[in-house]
Amino acid sequence: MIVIFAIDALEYNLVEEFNCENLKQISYGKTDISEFSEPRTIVLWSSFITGQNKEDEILTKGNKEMWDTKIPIEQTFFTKFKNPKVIDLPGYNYDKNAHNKSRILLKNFFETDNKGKVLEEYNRDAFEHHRKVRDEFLEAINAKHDFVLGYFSVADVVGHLNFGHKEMMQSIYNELDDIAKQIRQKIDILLIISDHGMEGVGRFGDHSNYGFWSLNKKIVLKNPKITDFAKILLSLKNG
Amino acid sequence: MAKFNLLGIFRKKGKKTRKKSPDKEKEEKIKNRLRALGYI
Repeated sequence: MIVIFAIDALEYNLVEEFNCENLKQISYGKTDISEFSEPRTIVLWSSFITGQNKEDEILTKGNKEMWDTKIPIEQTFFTKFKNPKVIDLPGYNYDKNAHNKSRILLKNFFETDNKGKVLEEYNRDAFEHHRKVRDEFLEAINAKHDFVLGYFSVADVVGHLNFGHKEMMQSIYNELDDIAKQIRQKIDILLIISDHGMEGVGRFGDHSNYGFWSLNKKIVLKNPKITDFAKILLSLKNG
Repeated sequence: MAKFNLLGIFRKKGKKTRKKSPDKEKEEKIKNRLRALGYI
């Protein structure tokens, strides 16, 4: 079984700082996303699953409409598997209502005077969604799939408004590290990958211009692009 | 006395500019970034 633990905004420097051994696995590093004009979530995940830079195609849709992107399975490397399971991935099959709700709360935060209340609801919503995806992901790994991808947004969503809150970020990284620990014993190939990282702007967090990758195999990759991993995974699959 | 009055008039007419707090500046910065990234 091949598993992708797809983590939005997993920051390389925090993985190091919090010493998340299970996220680092055997080989790990930063990805090079400099071919993209901005580190946009939908663009990066769509490019990852197709192995092609999808920026121009997605940006022509508009800032609002790009969130509706649904890349057909035929354009992805998922077709190389007999029974693939993909959970909540932007640009493919994510829960649009849940993610829209999160963005509305984010917008509300900047418009309200009662920031504490909105922030509390925003964080609670992100953690609830995380638990739902985590349970589905762990269940899928125990089922009979030859490929599972689970997408986790909590580090990105919570990080945007709380990146300066070290304890909160550490608890999120510990939780993600624990998920990696739970699944790594059960599978052949585990790729952990982020679209971009995150850097602090006071208490807030902005997307950084590199991502994170790790594999449970000894492999040397020098500044791989996010679009390289479709080929890398398939070559590992074919031995 | 005249100087005092002149200064008084100047202060009254002069535009008061209040510098934004560093936190507010960072909030504005992240809001603009999130808008540029299509989040809000």
